[in-house]
Amino acid sequence: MGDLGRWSLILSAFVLLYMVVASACGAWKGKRRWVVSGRWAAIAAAGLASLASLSLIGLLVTGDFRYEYVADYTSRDLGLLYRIAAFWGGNQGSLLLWLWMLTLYTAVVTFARSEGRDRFQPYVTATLGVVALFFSLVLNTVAQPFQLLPAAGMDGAGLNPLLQNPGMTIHPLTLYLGYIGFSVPFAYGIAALFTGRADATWLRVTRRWSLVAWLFLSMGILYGARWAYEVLGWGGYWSWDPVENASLMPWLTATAFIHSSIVQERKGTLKIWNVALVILTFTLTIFGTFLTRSGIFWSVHAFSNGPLGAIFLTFVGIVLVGAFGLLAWRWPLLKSTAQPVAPVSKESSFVLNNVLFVSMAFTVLWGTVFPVITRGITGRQMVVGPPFFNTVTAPLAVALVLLMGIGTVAAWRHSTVRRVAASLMTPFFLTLPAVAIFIGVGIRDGAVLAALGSIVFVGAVTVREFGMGTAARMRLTGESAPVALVRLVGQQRRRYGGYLVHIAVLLIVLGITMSGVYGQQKQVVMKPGDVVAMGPYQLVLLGSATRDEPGRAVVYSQLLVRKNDRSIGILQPEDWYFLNGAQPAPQVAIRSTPVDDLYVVMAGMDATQGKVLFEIHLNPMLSWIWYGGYLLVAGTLISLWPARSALREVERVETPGAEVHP
Amino acid sequence: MTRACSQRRLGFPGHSNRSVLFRIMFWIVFLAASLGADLVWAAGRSVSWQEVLDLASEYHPPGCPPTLTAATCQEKQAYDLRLEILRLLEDGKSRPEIRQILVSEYGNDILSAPPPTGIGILVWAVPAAAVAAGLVVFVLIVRGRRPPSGG
Repeated sequence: MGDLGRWSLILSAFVLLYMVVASACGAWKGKRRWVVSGRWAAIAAAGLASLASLSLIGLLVTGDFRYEYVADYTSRDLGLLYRIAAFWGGNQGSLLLWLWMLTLYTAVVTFARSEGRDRFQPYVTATLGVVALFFSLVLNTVAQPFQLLPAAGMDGAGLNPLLQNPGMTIHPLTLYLGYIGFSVPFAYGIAALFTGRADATWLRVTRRWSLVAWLFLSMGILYGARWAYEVLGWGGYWSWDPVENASLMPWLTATAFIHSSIVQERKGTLKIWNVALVILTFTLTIFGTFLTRSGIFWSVHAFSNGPLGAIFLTFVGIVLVGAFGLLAWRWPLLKSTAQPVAPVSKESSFVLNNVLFVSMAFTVLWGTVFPVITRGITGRQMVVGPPFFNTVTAPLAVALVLLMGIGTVAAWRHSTVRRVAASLMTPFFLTLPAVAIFIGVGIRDGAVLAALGSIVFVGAVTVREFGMGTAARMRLTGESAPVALVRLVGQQRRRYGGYLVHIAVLLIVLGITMSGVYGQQKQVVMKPGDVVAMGPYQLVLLGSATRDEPGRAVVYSQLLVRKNDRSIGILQPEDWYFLNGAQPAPQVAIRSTPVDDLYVVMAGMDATQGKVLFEIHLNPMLSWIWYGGYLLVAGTLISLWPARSALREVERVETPGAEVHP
Repeated sequence: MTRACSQRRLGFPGHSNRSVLFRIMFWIVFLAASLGADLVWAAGRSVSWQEVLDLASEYHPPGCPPTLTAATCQEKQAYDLRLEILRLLEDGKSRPEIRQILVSEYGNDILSAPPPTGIGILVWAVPAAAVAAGLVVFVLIVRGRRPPSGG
């Protein structure tokens, strides 16, 4: 099985090279046969990458410890789910996953029937081929997943205990699908530059690809945050770790791109900006891979040191120089059709939104690489931690939230300050009593009041959009309110799906604000029968004990949770001690409600006296971050769902003979 | 204690795997020793734990991962630093005084964000300059002096 995988990988490099040359030369010389053979090479490459990937999965599942990768990331006592997850749990496997998904995406994009296909497809296939070829070469040289050990082992080291969590099986996968997905809009952007046809066609074709990639990246970030919260045991979900930042940066530029592409679709402007954003987003996804593998940053996510970091950084440099060089070459052509943007309009709000998103991405990048810069200049690495990122990004985030409301009511082409202000008057007057209530319940912090006020204000603006649309539809059709609302959303999925995503963002900001500002933490030493108060709860330690499980011994405590003199449940934090000598892993116990999360970690114990040290956190409204995540997924799916007219169009195009291909 | 699997009270009498027992005891002793200080002052302190953590979030204990502060790091040195912050608070020291004491004791590396002095000023000034430049570009775009982002 390993030989099959190894040879598939070697062959994939040659096939990808052929795909790039055939597609690029075919497009350049106008040779249809070359283009067609390049397409079939895309299918062959996807097949070979699939064979290699399935081979590695097979080796992991069957526990073939002759292979270094299997021995490094699995063990005999590891369950099937985590054996499969080990495929992307290590360096080589995750790179192979990248190649596999990228070649599958390439095959789909190459054969998909879409607007402007004849013009763009060969360049798109060639561009994606270059990226896939890079990964294939890396996998065949410095990161070989099918490396044999000098002598077969009896057992493996096992998957990192921190990764043995259901959320961790999904988090890397969704993150990679997001990263890889942005290769497609990037390839179309490059194709638009090569062909000199940078009108909105490439944006219309890649809109769904961009949204799908954005959705996966959003899910990856949220799953990662949840994993950190439930597994790492420090009571938080985001620590501004370099690899966390690496996922946030492309998300920020991609979010800017999703908004600015709407402007180009509607008004034909921002052409260069959109291509530049898609290049930046793609480059940042590769930069994230560099961060994980360079070894120059400390991170809970880092894989290893070695030459990979330098290789990826070189590739990032080549992509940046090549893509922006191409952009500079096409600059005069793209510039000539520019249209002005009115100061007060939806377009201007989108431009400002882009400025803020890109500024935030730059800020995060700057704070992430600054320690390395200081090490280069002074020889000592300066720490740039959470206080910097929180201080710098918080005002930008509040501005973006406010802009989300203002942009919603601004009209396309041209509006006036008076008209926008009139539209915002009702939400503004709804916000005032809400802020008074916040003050009344004891919130005095100006920044918190500003954040909560912004959430209420923008929430009111967005909900009013649903209300006005529904009311208009009820007047026209006589439908009941629920029916009118469902049909309104169904008929304008892109718009109202987007508004749902806005509400989701508000919920996430609410959760971040409340848990961040009003979170409480205490450390207590308890012995059985002791009671400790935490907010409205009382926790009674019932006792501690141990039990054996496959591959580990578990020490656990049970705490009775009481509220208003009523028992409402039992929390059981644990510490896992692994038989293979891996560092013990705490297992957090969480009681999560919409009001607050009661979060308990066993931080240590004195077995001789029967005392246990607990870290107890009370995180108000933290679960609203996850609720916002669910709504974000729902809103994006609604926005992605094809309209009936689009489905008819696809059916028409897919009718044999409906379109002539080269 | 309702788990079906085998259970024992703490102390693990007759544990079949001595190496596991040894490891568990090692970690227990290690954690107990490193947290011993916390055990001593856990009861009867006048400064709230929340105050300690709020202040601890501004410091980075030497040896802790760069992304964790003294409030979130779970290494021994973080516990020690929290204890030191507690003592300083109990002595009636103000936040600037505590900052001065800790910086004189550990150097600027103790701060979890660089101070805006020396090369540290760059980390704060560059993002501010970037935002300002972005806003200038925005104004230029909407005033029509330049085509929107060149496009």
